[in-house]
Amino acid sequence: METVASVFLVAGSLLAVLAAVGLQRFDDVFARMHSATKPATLGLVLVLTGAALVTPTPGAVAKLFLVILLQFITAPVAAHLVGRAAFRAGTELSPETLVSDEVEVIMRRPPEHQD
Amino acid sequence: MIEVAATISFGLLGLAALLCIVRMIRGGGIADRIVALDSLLLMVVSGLAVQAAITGEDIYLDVMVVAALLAFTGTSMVANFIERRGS
Amino acid sequence: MRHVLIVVWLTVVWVTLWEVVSWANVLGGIVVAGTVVAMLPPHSGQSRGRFRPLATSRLITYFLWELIAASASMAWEVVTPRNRIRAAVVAVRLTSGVSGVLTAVANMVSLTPGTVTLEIDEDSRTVFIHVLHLKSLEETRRSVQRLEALTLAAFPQAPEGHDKTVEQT
Repeated sequence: METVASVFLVAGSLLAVLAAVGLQRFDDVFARMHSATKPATLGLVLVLTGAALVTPTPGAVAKLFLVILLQFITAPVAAHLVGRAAFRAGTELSPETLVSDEVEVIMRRPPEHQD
Repeated sequence: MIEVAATISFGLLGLAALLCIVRMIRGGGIADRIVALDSLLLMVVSGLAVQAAITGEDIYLDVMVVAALLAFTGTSMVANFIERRGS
Repeated sequence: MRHVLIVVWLTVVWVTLWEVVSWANVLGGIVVAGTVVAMLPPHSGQSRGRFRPLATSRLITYFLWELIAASASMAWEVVTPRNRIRAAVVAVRLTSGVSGVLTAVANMVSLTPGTVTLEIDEDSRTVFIHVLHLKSLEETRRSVQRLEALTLAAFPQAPEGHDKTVEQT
């Protein structure tokens, strides 16, 4: 049990480092978001699961899984919001990105103002 | 065994956090910086979970939950700001 | 019915956060959950809470596998020298107009290899996706549609009533 938890902890942290390196490596916001969502989320899941295997209290385990669930739901939404905002604000895409005209039209709509 | 793993874990998470901070400084626009900040907060959440597992103090878990919520809320707010103001 | 389910779920979350199952916590949770649901009423859903356990487990397995593959492919990306970058923004039209399904698919797409959701257009049931390495438009569309098919299999929706799902012409 402890061995499994240890492996999870280290693996999750490695993924976190991977995510951070990805932030450095990529050229534009959108590519960096790939790095911030996927390996970061999996890394978090691994680390929290490893921690859950080691904590004795059931309440603590429940909290850890709650945060994992929260992360699954919010990480893509956060990426979506930032990506959409950046696109609408006219952020430069990395030069090789292909965007068809119709996509441009729909995505560059002015922001809706919620009441 | 778990102690060793936790130490390695803290070291790696610290490294990752440092890289996120570098991206925050270098940036390229607000959007890059908020993505980096969100990632940084994720490292913090992971670190808190490891700390809670090692010391057995449950208080760290409560801080972890709040940090996770704030990460999302903050990122959404800044995204809203970018949309209205331009980056 | 949907309201009751949501109040129950929120109360469970509340009690979990307090870690102690006591009458005070449960009642407090119900009060808070009730207030939240009263202030933010949920969509009248099409699915009526139905779900198929077998299809759901297939969906979850596929999704977890894709998540792991995504991290592996990210690792590869980071390590190989930069070249072959062909990013694109792709529009994929889905068959179901139910907002719950759209949201679920958009979320899952962000966690599968190479794709992140940028925009959802509910009226035209379209999802706009940023792809890191575009192999072909068709391949991207097919993987998104596969996700949608698995989701619909796991959470069957009520037959067309007044939702936005359109007959295939």
